[in-house]
Amino acid sequence: MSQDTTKTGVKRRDFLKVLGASSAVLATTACSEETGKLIPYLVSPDETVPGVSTYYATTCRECAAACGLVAETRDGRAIKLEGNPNHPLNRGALCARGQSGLQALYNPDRFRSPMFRDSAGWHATTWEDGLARLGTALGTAQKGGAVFLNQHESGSFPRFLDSWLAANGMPAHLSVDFEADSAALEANHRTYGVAWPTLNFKDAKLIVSFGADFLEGWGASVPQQLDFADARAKLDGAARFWYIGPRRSLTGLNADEWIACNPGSELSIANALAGKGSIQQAATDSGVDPAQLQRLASELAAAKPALVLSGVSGDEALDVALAVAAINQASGAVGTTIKPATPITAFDGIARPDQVLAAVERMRGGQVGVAFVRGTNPAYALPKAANFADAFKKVALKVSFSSYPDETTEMCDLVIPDLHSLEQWGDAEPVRGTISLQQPAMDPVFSTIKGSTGDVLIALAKKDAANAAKFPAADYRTWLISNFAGGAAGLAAALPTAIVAGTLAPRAAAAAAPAPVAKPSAIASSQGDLFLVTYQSPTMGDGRGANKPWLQELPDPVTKITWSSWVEIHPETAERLGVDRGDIVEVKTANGSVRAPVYPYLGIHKNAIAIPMGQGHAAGTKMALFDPKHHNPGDLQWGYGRYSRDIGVNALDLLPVGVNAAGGIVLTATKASVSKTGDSRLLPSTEGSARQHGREIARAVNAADMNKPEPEEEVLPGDASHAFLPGLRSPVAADAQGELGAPTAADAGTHKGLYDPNDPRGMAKRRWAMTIDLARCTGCSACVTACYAENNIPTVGGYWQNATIWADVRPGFNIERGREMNWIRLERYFEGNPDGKFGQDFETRFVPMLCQHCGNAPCEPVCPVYATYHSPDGLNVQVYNRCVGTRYCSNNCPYKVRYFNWFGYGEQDRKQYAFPEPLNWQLNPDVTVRGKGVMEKCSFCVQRIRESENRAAAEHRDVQADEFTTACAQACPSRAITFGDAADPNWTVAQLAHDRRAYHVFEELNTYTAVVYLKKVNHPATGAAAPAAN
Amino acid sequence: MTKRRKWTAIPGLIALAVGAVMLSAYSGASSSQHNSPVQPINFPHTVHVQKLGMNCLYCHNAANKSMDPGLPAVSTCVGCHNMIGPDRTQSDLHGGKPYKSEELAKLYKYADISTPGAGMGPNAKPIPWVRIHKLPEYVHFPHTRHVNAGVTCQTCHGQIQNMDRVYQNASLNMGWCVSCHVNGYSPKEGLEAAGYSPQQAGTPTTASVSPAALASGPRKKARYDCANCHY
Amino acid sequence: MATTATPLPSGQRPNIPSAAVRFPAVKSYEQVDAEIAGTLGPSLGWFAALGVAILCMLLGATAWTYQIHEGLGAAGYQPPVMWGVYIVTFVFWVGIGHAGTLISAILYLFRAGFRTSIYRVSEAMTVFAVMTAGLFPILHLGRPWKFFYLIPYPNWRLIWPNPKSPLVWDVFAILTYLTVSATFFYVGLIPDIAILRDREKNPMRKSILAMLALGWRNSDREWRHFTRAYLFLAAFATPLVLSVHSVVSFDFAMALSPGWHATIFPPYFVAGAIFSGIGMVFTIIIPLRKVFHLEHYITLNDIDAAAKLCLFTSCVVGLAYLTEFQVAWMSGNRFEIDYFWNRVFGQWAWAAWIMLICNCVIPLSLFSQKLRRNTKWLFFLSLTTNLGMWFERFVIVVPSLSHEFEPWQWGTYHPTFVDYSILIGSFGWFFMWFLLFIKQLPVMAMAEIKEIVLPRLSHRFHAAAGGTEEAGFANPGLTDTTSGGSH
Repeated sequence: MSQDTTKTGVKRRDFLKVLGASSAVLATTACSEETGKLIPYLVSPDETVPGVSTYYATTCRECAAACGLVAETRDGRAIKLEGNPNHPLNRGALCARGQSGLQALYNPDRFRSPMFRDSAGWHATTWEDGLARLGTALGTAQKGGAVFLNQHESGSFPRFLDSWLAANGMPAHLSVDFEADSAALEANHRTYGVAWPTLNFKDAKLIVSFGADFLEGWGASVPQQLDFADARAKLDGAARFWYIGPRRSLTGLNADEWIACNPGSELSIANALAGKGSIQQAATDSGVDPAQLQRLASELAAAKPALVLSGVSGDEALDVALAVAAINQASGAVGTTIKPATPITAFDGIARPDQVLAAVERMRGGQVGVAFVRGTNPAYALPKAANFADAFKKVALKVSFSSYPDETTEMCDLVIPDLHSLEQWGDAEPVRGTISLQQPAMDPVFSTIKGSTGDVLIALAKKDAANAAKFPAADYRTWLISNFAGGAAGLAAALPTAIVAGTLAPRAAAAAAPAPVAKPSAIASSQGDLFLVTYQSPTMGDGRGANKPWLQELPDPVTKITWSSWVEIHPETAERLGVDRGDIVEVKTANGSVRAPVYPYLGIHKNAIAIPMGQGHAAGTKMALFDPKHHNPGDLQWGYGRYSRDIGVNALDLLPVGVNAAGGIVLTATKASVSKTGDSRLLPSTEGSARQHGREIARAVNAADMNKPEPEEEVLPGDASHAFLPGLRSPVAADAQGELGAPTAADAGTHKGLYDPNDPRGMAKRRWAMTIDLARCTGCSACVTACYAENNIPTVGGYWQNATIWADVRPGFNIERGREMNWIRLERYFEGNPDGKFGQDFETRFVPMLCQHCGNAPCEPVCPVYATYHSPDGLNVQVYNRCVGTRYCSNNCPYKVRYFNWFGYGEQDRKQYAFPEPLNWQLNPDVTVRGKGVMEKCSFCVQRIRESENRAAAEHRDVQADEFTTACAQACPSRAITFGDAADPNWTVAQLAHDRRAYHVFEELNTYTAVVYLKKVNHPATGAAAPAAN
Repeated sequence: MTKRRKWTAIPGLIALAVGAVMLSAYSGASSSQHNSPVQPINFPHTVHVQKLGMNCLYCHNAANKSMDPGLPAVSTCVGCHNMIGPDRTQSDLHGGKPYKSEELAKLYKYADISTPGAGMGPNAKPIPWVRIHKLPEYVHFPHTRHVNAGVTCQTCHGQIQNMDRVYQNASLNMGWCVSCHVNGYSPKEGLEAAGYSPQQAGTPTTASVSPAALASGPRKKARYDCANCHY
Repeated sequence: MATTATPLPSGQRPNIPSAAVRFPAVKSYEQVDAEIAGTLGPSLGWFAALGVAILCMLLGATAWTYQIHEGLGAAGYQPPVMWGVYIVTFVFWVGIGHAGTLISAILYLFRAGFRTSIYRVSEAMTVFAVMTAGLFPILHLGRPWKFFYLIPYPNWRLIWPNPKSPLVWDVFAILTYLTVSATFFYVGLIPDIAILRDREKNPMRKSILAMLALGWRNSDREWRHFTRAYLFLAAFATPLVLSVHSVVSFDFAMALSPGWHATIFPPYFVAGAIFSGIGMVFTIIIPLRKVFHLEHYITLNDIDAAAKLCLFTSCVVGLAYLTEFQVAWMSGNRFEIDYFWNRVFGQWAWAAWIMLICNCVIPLSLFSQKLRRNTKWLFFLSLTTNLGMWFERFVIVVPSLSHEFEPWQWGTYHPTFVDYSILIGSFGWFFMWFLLFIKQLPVMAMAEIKEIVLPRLSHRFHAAAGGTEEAGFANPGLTDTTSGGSH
């Protein structure tokens, strides 16, 4: 799975749908006489070799940031998404949401064809008929006040869209992104004249964030995470990081200090720091110890330059953002840590939410004849109080270009499904001066969908004489080429990296912002005793992630809860209310009420509760217990698809339609009352105990103490050697070779066979190992999704994936039972504040935990059938087809990283099947899909090891140092994971393993693990009590 | 006495049962060795390899660079047979005499070639070959490793060049694989398996060295631990 | 069961008091035949019991079928608790299987008289218990249809089971134990089967019994061989009593988990096994002697003796429990200490206390002779013993796994109806066999009882012998020719 991309991407469109013989992937249990047919290509595409991956560079559209992708395709199917190393933003890394783009592409709920609705309900129709219907409908429609809500995307498409709308006498479209922080955008415009300056964490002496979650969706999170990790990895003299806000988000958990202020009091703190207000005043407003604010103020004064960020979503968001901008200017941040000169242009032209609200009001007023929706879902993402549904119903003609069912589309009259971004052409300008191209990685999954929205619009234009002349291009791709500097040749030349210098013509200035809707002063108007904090889930975003099983299954980085909604309440408050983990409470505001289980969380203000957004999608038409055997693909899963069905609540139901001065919707400025309902549920969480109980799994060291020598610990006879020596020079490898491999063995070299370091086959010369730097890891969990994608790991949370008789039908049931299959998981341990008092600060440590590939593995001797054993190159191998499922290995694994197939998740004919067509197109052909009743676990991506060995052998050479890496390491947006051969000093991992911070987990068990952790580095406040460092 | 003999029969029966179990175990369970299905087109490897001396890699073009050997696209056949039609007035392979071939007629039907030289038509369909060599999905067999190591195709597939209809030559049992990985592959035996003798001049080989030198090479052993193929 | 032509001078034999002392109510060979063989006729109550047993077994079988079809997820496993009710019940049944061999083999070698009347039943119990236990290792597999991977046989894959794995040792231990105890059981039965054969009228059954009796003609020579063989088998079976459950305990002791990783396990398991075995013997014997009116064979003295054994093993088990805690406490090992604290005060405390009370507290009542001879109390105690021993295994398996090294992976466990059905099914399976046994074969060794019953003799000879029954054996040449034989 190398990074090189192929010459040109144009010919691939001649692919035959007929697949080569290599793509068969079945369950371990399949071993039949039925050998089947071999279907050859008619004409073999010239740039592919059957069974060898082809890579296409393109652009990610899962959020507005437009990161670069490398799509790995095998026999015409995209099977993995990785970051494009040449892309200026994500530089090879990719977040969980980006990787899940594949599950949008192969989503089983995707529209198979255009749909139209009449009195009898929805009907599928042919492509041509769909276009014809759209044409005629448009012909008669009153176009004056037409509204086109388009998911914000950077690039030429918005301009093209406007030109088309203009040609049809319709106003310019609204480029909607409900995830954008309007206040920050507005403030940036006013202060720096750009939408989003580049943030340079590395040069900052101090980082302060007012609720700006830059690691999880605020701005372009992947590049921000890369830079943040680099800044903190300086170890000595790294910038301290303060987080200010009522709730400690993932970003907040990465902070050295948390100022838990009252919601809405950020402004007075910002003013105090800016010198416009007194610390005393700020302290009283925010209920924070003035001494702490004083320390922050003095640190800020000393730090030049600092980097202060504002992501407040309250009433006064804009004022805070402007005050923060003032602080930055004062500390000389502009040009050093904040670089307006090299802006991120991906966020240019995002419509203010109040413009959307204004449009909704126009609909309500009946002034809108035609409404188009593409890729955005206002019916879900606007507060219920905005009453979008009623307004939308008043529109005569409602057309949706959505690829899969959602709440808004369900209300439309006609659906012309768009192609997925991996199936269509496009471009983007993520940063000024750089164009990131978007090319199809494969032919459309459903041949019945014959074009992208761009193609559709051109086709329509060609239909009427007036417009035909304006759109000479045959389809959107040719239009793109005609607008591309360098034309077809230039495009073809640029496609291998998909990155090319240049700027795109901007779209004509968007419609002037209308007068903001009258803004109710939310906090005053609302009743209740607790502040309500609603925030965008790092995995679900504004809700668009909810129909992707990988994201549903991915534990929330903070609470570790899956397939569910929850209410975060501080333990003290929970005690006061008499509720505990899992108790269902009713949260009431002036606008509505929801019921959700309680999650007691240290990181929430004791006067506030927090509810994540993104769940609680409309149930849609109920379908009987989902069963792949009897499911007709045509059945529409209205609502937001089968994976979001019956899950949690929509926090937006609680909010009034508050709009701040920047036109952004106010999220945290209302009060709620919480009452217990009496019933409770088991949370589908992967969290066992949140405390380490002194077991030193996640260790940390204070930056100040780092250069002090380790205290001499007395070595008791029989103790394991505490000095780590990588590779063959270590007891690790000696054990890795088995007794026979021990250099001291009497018959050394005579009967070792494969395990002899001098064996001509040479495997024993290698020792695959991994280092994980806890100082870099931010807990974002991108590695987890990467592992799911690479290793065909089934998601087990679907409500139908349980037994049949007397079994609960509930999303996440299997995870309540701890049956999740995450080969690599992120453990989140809290340190300090043992009895959960509010006001005491606490520290968080994230530990990616995966199979440690022990040199002396406890799981190996206990397996009765050798289904797990030690390979000569140091892998702890699991042989699925040999496993009989005694599960003894898991019992004996101290790290508990072995996962069992309780049901036939990998068997097509089982109702628990995890990959309903066409989701199974994504399966990696190099990895066996496990059947029921076998154990599985992290394999160190052995398929990648073999693949590189095979390539090296074919080229008659050895595997080069750092030639390849595992899926988790490849995806990691903070570059915390390094993989390689610890026996060969040329590999980076061999050097990192010698780091002064290196340690093994549970070293005292003599497991000689191949995974080496590097201690987290803490930056305690000078003078403040240092958190426990061990 | 008679009573005694009755009871002495029991151990005999038990022994038989045990023997049966072992036999069934040894029989290689699911092997479909010698399976030789009828193909949609009876493709004559004999003609193409022996008479025309074509290299396996001409059609199975991925065998040296991929896990898959690669199956010739219909266009590959058409490449030559666009000209060489089913009904020829004179055929070099048949001493210049006229020659009719139903098999080629079938090919023309699949490839939708109206007359020789017309090229593939719009209704061309892929040929549904019946699969013969099939490993379970949990086994990963890289053709590239073996071909690049100089293992002759015939070592596993048998002398395809002499098969009128292709059949599965080896059992493809795990034991069969492992024994070769453990004991090593002998170039000499491989060459002989391919039906050539080291002395024979101009022997086609996948390696660039001369047959004699090749045959004199040492046994090549390969790793045989599970994770080599099972992952 | 004389083995020599010359009787002991006094006519007494070590540790085996005569019937007058052991069974005052048993007067003659005919009485023995009549009363014991008389229990064989099926009764309505018996059919009812058998029906219930078979229904339970079918319930279990259905549940297992469902589990195989659905996957192990149908059971209540909750990682990290990867072993649950099945392994618990497996160890439970293996334990039950120990009393039999102990009583029939070890006590035989020690010439403990009280075994005579109860050893047949407990031996049968052993065989059936091991048959039941043997199901579970297969039943709890993820892919039971591949269980033969555990059996070493030459195969075309050229791979063998892993000799390092305690589970493979299990396979051998269980199979050996089953074979030996079954053989021992059968050999002991031969003379009695011969008796039944000779009493049998129905030609069909007669021929079957004839086959099973291996043509036993009760000749002197046969007896000589028989006693030798029996002695040999007893000696052969004795070490197994210790070895088998030691091996079973290795399943845990060989693992790393806190609560498992302890050297004390083998003796501790053996003691526990015998304790539970005796418990089960009581559960079976006490109703049996009542229903079959065998109070004058299974006398209170016998029961009293067995109760003492029960008391002793209970004390050993209690000591083992304390030792575990003490070892953990003194080890200074964080994981061990955490675990054992959690065992008695954590989420599983209730199970631990059931175990401690049933196995260590209630049996202490047996210090009182009155209670030792009170069958009602003993029956109740036998039930609590079975319960306590099941929970001992539960406490060893489940809490250890749910509270291991990794706090992040601490969990809990909720069995489902599948687990319970299979648990019930195992009892059904066991009692089905047992009920079939008690109506087909004598529940007591008639031959052995007759050994100590004085044969009826002529008055003249009687007088010469001194008139007392005790003196009956004083007559040389009598013992070896007639003892045990019924004709």
